[in-house]
Amino acid sequence: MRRMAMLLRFSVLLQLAVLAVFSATALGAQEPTTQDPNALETATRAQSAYERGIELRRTDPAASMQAFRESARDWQRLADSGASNGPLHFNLGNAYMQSGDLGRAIANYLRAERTMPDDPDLVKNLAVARSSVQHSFARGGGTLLVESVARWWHIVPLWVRQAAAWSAWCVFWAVLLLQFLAPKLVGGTSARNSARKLVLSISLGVWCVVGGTLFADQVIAAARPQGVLVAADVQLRKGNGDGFDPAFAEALGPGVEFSIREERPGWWRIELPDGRTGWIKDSQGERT
Amino acid sequence: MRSSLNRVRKWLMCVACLACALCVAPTAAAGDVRFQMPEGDVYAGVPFVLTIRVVDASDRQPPKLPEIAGATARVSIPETRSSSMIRNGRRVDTYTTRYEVEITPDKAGRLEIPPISIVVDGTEYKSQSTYVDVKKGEAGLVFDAEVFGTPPEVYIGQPLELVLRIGIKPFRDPTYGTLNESQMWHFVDLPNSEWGIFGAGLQRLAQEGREMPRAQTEQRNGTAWYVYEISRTIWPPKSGKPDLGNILLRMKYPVGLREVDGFFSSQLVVSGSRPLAATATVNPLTVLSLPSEGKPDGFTGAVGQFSMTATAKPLSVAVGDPISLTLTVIDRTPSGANLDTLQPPDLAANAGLKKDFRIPNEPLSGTASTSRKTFVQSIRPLRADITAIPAIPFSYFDPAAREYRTVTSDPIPITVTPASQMDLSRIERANGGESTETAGPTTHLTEVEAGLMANKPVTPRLLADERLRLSTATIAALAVPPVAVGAAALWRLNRSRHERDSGLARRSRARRTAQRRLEEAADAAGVARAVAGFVEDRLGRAEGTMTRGDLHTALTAHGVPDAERTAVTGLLADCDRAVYAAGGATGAKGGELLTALRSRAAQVLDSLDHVAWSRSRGAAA
Repeated sequence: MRRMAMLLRFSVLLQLAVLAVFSATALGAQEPTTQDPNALETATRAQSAYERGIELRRTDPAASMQAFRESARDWQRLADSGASNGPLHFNLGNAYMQSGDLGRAIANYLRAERTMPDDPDLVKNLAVARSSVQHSFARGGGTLLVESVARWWHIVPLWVRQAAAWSAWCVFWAVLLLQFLAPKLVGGTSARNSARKLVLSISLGVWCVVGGTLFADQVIAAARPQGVLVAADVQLRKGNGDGFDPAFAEALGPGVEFSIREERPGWWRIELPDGRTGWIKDSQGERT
Repeated sequence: MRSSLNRVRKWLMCVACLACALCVAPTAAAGDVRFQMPEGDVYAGVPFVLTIRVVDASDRQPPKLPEIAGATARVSIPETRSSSMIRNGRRVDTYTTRYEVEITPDKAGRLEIPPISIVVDGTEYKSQSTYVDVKKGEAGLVFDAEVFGTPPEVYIGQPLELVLRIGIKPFRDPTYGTLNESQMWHFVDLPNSEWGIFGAGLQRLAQEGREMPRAQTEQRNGTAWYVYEISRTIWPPKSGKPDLGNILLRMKYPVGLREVDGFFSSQLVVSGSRPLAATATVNPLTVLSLPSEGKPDGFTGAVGQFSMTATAKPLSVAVGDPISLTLTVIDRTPSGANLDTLQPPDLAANAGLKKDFRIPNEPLSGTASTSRKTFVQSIRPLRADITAIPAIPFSYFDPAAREYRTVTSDPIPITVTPASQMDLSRIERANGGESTETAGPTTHLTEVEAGLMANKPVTPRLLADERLRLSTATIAALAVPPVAVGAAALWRLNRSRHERDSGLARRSRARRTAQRRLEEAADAAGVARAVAGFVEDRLGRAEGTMTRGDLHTALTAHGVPDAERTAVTGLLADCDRAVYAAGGATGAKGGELLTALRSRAAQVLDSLDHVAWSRSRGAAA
């Protein structure tokens, strides 16, 4: 009889845990929110255009380029309608890359990197895109510090971190709730008390650490918005106007990554990876 | 009198029915398919549109167009729109697909449009046969368009400057004079015209914030015309006639002006207009194929005038390590070459480079800027005795000189050291150990770094928004668990207090217990027991031990106000009187008395429950 009661309690606990994990996963994974009623059709068309571009690449470069542009336009339409996820930005980056728009390609690969940082295809394509950038800079200063600190948690995909944080949150409060509503279920013996304390400590720890990384992502993104140059021959200036002298003698090409230090109407003060700064028009860059 | 009224009523009914029929007539509805016939005048050479709307169809096929004698017809790409409305508290979505059948009459006269059929959800719907009166078109007299190209003869890939010239005869009103070029341009129907390859030129105008293209005045047969020019450069990809797309311009030419009084001043408005359409005539243009004579082996299709530079990094590597070779092709063509389609030099076909370096076979996409295109390729030296990356040739066809030319980059000196990695399998064999090889030598694969990995497949995830947002649901999910736990903790705390203090539980239940006793009281003594029991429960005294005097003393000691004390003692005295009065507890009169006592007791209990009972004075008492 006692064994039956223990089994019953164990099964209730297990069901609660499973419920917590499933509800956490459901909260982490968002429902489709695109405003385009023909979104799937648009995505299929974009994919077909891309494949056509690949087919024509060796035989008819002009038609191939046109197909890649069509693909990029359709993927972009999908992104503009509210969709935002790793595979979409990856495909959009590919289409821009093939149509020669290096800056927007890198911008979209970086957006994809946020949700699927460990994707090997993305890592390779981003490396290929970055190797095509004409100007490279030694990273240093605050950029390097932030990147090196944030890198360790970006190993874990965003959706995994979201699901882990929600699971830990639900488990922590569920155990606390049981402690008050059914104290004998999670206490009474020293073994159960120890198990309860362990579960509470672990879930609180996981929630603090993983939730902290999610919070830190938001804070970093808000404090140091990133961007990529999308225009060619961008002349960095010493102030927010065409009348200011150039900050550097050389103009920069598309694909150069930067962080936005200050924003004024129509202009951004950007910081290059090596810490040097200058002003560009906001139309010359794209925020990632 | 009555018959005449009935007759008038019947007439009114007939008129109403006729009006309804006339309103419905232009829209022939057939189930979920609606055919909408054109409205207004129809002119020769000017297309008009017949609209087919398909509502909420799961399967539909494009409409089948019959042969229309004296006109050409085509169906536009269908457009699907959705709309939502709340009906009886439920959301109802409607999807409407709209087909436009554009019909262009060739000449004036009566035009018959045979039935047009469309199959929707397996059912065929047909429009009714219709006749349209086509008026004579006047486009060429006041409105025309033509396309010029410079030079008129170009090679494949050579820039061709195209100019679309739109001529409009200015409208002259006998009273208000002649409209200027800006006013006349506004009558051009920009969104409904077909601009062919000049659509991009119009977009550029819009981006630059210009209202109209460059305009000038030209004399034609002694009359001044406004001529608007939109230019575009193309690089024809194939020989023959260049593909300019369909260029069909439409305008609403004014037929009169009138003055309208505004708030501050009067202004001129168009009193009427007639539609015009003009198909652009294209002056002879020829695209020549590139000559086959003298075509270099490494020619990749570049047409124009170019130079090329090459850089590499790092310049000192070990055998097999990658070197990033950057080739920059600089465009020196006077009118600009098409850098978007410019292909890189064929490095794989370069024998000098191939014998010393491993070169990926993947084609490069390159990055184009204003006047240059950069290609980056990763190459790996094969041996340690290599001292330089050889000169790289780049061939192009120069249309000005009408011959092929080749430019070469300078050789780049490099230092290659032997590879630092050792072959572990050889070391094991030398030591007599077992080789890890199972069957013959392993194949060494060199990964190609250039080239992109394939797209991700199209799945529903592609439509999701995975950005982290603090939505209402998220806030609720964060807030609900702590609130629930807080409520549970309070409940547990309260329960523990009751378990620890039995008197507390009795005090807490005193009002409920007294109420129950009152309801169960069968006589005045029961009412008195309910009130006395309430005080005993509140003070933790044993049940049935307090007399009326004790009650008064205890209530005084616990600071109960005089009014409540008096009410209690008065009620108890009345209860005693009722108990001991002869025949007081029987009959209808006794029932009324009991009800009155119950009512008073309930009020007394309420007032006692709401006053504050002091503890210290009670303890002293």
